[in-house]
Amino acid sequence: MSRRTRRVVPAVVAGLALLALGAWAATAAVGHLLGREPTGTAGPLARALAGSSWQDPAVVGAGVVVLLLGVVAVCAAVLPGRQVVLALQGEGAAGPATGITRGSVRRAVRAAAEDVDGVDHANASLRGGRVDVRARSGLRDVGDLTARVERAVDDRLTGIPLARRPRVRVRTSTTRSDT
Amino acid sequence: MTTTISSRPGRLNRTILLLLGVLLLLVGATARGLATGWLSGLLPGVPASDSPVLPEVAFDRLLRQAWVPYAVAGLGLVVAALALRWLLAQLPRRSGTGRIGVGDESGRGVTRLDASTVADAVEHDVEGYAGVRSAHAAVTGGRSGTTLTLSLVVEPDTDVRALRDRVRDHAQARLARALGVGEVDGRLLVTMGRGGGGTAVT
Repeated sequence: MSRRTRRVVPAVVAGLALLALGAWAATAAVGHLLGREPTGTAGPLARALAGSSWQDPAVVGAGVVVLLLGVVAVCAAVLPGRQVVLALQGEGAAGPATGITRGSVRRAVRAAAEDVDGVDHANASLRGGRVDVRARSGLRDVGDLTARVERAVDDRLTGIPLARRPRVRVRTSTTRSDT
Repeated sequence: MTTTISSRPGRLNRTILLLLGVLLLLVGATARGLATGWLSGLLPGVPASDSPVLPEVAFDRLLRQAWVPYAVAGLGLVVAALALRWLLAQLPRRSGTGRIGVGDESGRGVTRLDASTVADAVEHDVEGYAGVRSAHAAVTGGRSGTTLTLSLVVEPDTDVRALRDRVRDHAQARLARALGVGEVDGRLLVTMGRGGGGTAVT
């Protein structure tokens, strides 16, 4: 079982914008019907638009912004986006189709790296079928630390049998500077 | 309650975003075409690039039409209501409500069970597994068979392979027995919780 992003963030942003736009238009129109100042907040906007031409920098700028927003929206709709749930190997016909969230794998790898003796702090990122681990150590000589972190991360990934097992790359650095 | 697998607004989101995007592209391109004078050179009757965006005369004439404010108010309300519905579709939904049949395939003596009752029982089962912090289950039945959808939040050091085997051998098998069916399809989504394993909880 795997799943790509559902584009919830752009959807919520666009939904809120549409909600505000619709509510504003309805409020202005109802205000106008009730005989308020010509069109409520729409009045000043109409006057501003009447006073500017298509060549005015503000109008041109707004047009470019609209164009760019259109590009962003179309890209969000068409591009597949990142995989948020990664599939695990299928084993046994009766087993459940299993997926794990990308963030989970990252957290598990990070925790495994931080459990290694000598590692103070670790970061992990997972993209393009590769796990990048950056481990920081307070040891003066990191020695075989890179190899030990690699082994720990490999062991951890064995317990998370991803359908596409990522390659592991570990970088270690020391927080201690020799004086 | 955590991530539910059942809510899938992805297709809806992409469809509406595509429509909005194309609309915005058209509006933006028209503004560019008017500003550069390209459109007025192409089509007769298109305002020149130095003409006002919204001529005052035209605006006044528009407002004097009795139906215009009603149309704007109505359209505004429709847009706002649809936007609200779209926003609500982003919220996770609990699936697997309804009833599923229990018993032999002859159709005699079939008992109908509330799917959420069955799901609660499975959740209770699975929450007892080592490493499982919380479970969300949905049981859906169809002509093609019964499906158990499980969403689990587990400890960061959990062996997912072992967990999956346990779900297969225990939860899925027990559910199949309880429902009197040969086998139950399973879908399992694992999320590892924060904290533990030496990571500070902030």
